[in-house]
Amino acid sequence: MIRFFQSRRAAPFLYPGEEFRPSTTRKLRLTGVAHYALEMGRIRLIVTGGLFVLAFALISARLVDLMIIDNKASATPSLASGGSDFHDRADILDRSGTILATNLPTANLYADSTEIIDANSSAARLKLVLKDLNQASVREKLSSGQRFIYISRHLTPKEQIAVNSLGVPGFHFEATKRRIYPHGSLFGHVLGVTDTDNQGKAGIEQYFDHRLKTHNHPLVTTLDVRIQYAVRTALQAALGTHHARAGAAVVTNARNGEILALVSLPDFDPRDIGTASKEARFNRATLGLYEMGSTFKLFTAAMALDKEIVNLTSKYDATQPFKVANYTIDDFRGQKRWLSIPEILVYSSNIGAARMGLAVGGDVQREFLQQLGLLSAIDLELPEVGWPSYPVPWRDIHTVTISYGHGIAVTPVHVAAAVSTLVNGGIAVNPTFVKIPEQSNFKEKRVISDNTSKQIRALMRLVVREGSGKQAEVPGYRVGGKTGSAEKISVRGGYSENRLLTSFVAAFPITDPEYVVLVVLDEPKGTLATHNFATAGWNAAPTAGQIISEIAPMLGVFPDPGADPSPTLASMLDVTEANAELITPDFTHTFGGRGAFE
Amino acid sequence: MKLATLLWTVLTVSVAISLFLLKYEVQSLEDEISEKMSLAQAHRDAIKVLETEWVYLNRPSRLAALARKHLSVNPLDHKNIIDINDLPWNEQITIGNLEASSRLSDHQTLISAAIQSQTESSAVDQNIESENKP
Repeated sequence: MIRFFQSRRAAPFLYPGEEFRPSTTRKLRLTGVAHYALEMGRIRLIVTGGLFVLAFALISARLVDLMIIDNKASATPSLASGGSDFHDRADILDRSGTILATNLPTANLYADSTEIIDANSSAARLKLVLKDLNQASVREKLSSGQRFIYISRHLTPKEQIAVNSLGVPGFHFEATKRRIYPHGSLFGHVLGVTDTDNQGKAGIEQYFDHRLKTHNHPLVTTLDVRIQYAVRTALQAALGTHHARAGAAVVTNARNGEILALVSLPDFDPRDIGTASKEARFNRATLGLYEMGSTFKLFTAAMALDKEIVNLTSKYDATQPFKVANYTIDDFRGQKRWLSIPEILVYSSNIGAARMGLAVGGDVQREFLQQLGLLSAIDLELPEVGWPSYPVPWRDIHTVTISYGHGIAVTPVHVAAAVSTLVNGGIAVNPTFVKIPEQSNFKEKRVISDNTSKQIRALMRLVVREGSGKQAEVPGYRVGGKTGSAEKISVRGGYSENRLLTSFVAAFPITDPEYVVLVVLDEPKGTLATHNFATAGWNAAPTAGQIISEIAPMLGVFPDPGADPSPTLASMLDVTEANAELITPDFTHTFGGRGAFE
Repeated sequence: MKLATLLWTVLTVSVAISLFLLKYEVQSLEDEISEKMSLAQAHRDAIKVLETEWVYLNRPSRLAALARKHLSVNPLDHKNIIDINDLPWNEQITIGNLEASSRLSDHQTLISAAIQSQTESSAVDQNIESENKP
């Protein structure tokens, strides 16, 4: 060492590098072996220096990468510990933003039984705050010796605090989320359910499963809590009053098909789906297929009027039962005379409708029902949609029975949508649960002319004013509608006379319909109050009227105290060329108040 | 040369110290941010719980039951909605009321008066009754 320093001291002083890069003051030239040795040293120095530069460059590059480019590695732990709710299933809201389905933080209670000091007293103390627990099974779990064993799932925050304040060692919580339906069974059929793994298993939850899991923003539906409640309450009451097995009701916007309420009874609370009966889990409004009966006469009349096969003054012979193939078609309490089109609807004549349907023809009828959407599954945002059943091939006898609603089975939502199309001016309506964007490239599809739509509205008004739908009248609201009482197919085959499926489809205000209400009752019974009648006019119609009187003010439809501008049956029958105007008066809604909904 | 060495030493030491301090500051900030974030999450969860509870307490079936129990107000019926022109004109209608109602609509002003069934005998109700029974 010392010699090393001494030898350096002995040499002339050189600044670092001066050995091979002589300073300007002193010129040193080496040649031969000395030059070769110097060059070798220089190259070695450069290579070594280069390796160091490379190593430092790598380190700096990694530092830049860590700190600036890829800073997730350090950020993730803090995000995870803080908790991110991005992966929460999105909420479902009604049209005004009320929560229909959401997630709540809950805690699963588990125990580390090795930490438990006294299983007996711990179980007893836990039972004090969690009353639903089975004390014996808890005691067994606590003395099982397992390090992780669930005691109870989905504790509420209050329960969690209560368990915590017991101060019993060995109990731990695991944070979790639970899907909550604050309205209980009110929206059971529409919303459906999710399973324990947060997968949608029915209803909107299943249809929008992917959307709800991937987008965090809430799904806004067209449903309305208040309307749904009013409809369900009225239907529930009707089921009680008329001793019906089941029922369904739908309220749709007649212009754009938005569904405001959809009820199927009996229903279930999504929380108790596991114990709900098959009957309760069956969505009658969208999945149930029913022969709707006389309600279909509206479609027959609309078709005949629109194809100009008949006009409102045309008459059909209903003096005696109508025989076609081996069948005899008769009227319920028939008039036994020639009936005009308005009379056929007001008295709900099967004979008249059958003759009218036959006059139009089977091909045209099928095409027309197809356009109304009655021959294909409805394009609704639910997995539970029923595919209509209709005869193939479509023979004359089918044309005849379908004219008055037998031999074809559709869902209640089909009827609500088709009637919306008839009354809104003739534009096809597709029922939906989600708001249609304002600037959607929706293409209007006309099914019937505006004029036919006006005539159908007048006919529907007539049914409520003077026909079978009188009990659906709500003073001032101008309800129009049509009853339907179909005999259900009995188990032995054929139809059974005392088991009816009654329905009433209503539109209001009929002068310029905004909403369509459909009520379906399955096997209502005649009671003292209904003079033992079980037909639609005595149960479905008053229920629809009750619903309309409650929901109209909520929907911003106000009663019109003025005189009813719609034609009466007498004025319709009294039509000559001179006063033909009477058939289709130009309804104008004279009392145009609109509430907050517009 | 001595000055340069001193300068470099001071620089190295100060960078080392400041890096050390920075590291600790970053650590404490990270602790703070995760604390704040978990606090925010706790608040979000609490808000969610309260919102849901609010919806639960405001569910129509409960409100209807409470209204039946504590209020004498009935569901709005067609009889409760009349045209302002059908109101008996008297001094009791104050300017304020008129202004409020005229904001609804210029030509056809509505007021929805929740008229209780006890006041059936009033002139207003008779007026409505006659309207509805043509």
